[in-house]
Amino acid sequence: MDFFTSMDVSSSGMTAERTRMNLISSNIANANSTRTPEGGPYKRKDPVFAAVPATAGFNAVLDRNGNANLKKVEVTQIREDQSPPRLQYDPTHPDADAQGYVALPNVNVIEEMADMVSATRAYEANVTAAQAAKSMATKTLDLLR
Amino acid sequence: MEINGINSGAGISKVIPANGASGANGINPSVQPGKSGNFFEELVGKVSDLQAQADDKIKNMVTGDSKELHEVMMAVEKANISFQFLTQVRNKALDAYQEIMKMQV
Repeated sequence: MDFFTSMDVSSSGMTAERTRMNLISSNIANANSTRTPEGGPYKRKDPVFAAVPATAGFNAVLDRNGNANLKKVEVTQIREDQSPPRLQYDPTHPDADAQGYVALPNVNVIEEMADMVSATRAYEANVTAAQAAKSMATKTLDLLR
Repeated sequence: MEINGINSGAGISKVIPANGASGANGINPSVQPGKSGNFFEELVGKVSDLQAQADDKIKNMVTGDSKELHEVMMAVEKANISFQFLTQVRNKALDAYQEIMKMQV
């Protein structure tokens, strides 16, 4: 049923926004982490969203309902922010360099908060779209009543 | 005068073919038993599939195998909508049946 296709697309949007939210949580949680397994301070992480065809393969060719142009969203890559770390003077810190500067993550908590609001709203938009598809389906069923 | 419009007009026999009824005086001329005529059975099967999927998703959620809450909700919603569709079709078919039974002969 076609209503289900739009619900699947909304679902992919929710998955993507949830991944984004996870990364924002990770950024906020590690805003002061000076050590990572790879060495150096934590680097801010950002998802890369990509539009991918909603119906794949042979079905897409046979689709007559215009679903061939339908795109889902997918997180294809998680990008590390390569901007330089924040430097703070703290010679007593175990991770301080020879000059007494500690390299802190390149995370700006205020920026992360703004991103979080955006992710929450985008998720809500996907939920609303799914709800609308659902109410369209139930309204259609009312035709038979 | 011959009255045979009801054979092709009453869609109920196509939706819910009575098993073995096709032999009884041509009640069911267009539906061959065992072929794809049994639309209702197919519909019930599909709804049942969707409900089984929803059950699986819920089970995976509560056992911690899956953490995609929205996918559980979507699966449940899909099962719900398709079940509503099934009940509507069934109600309509029964309505038609009762309407015919009430008919004065």
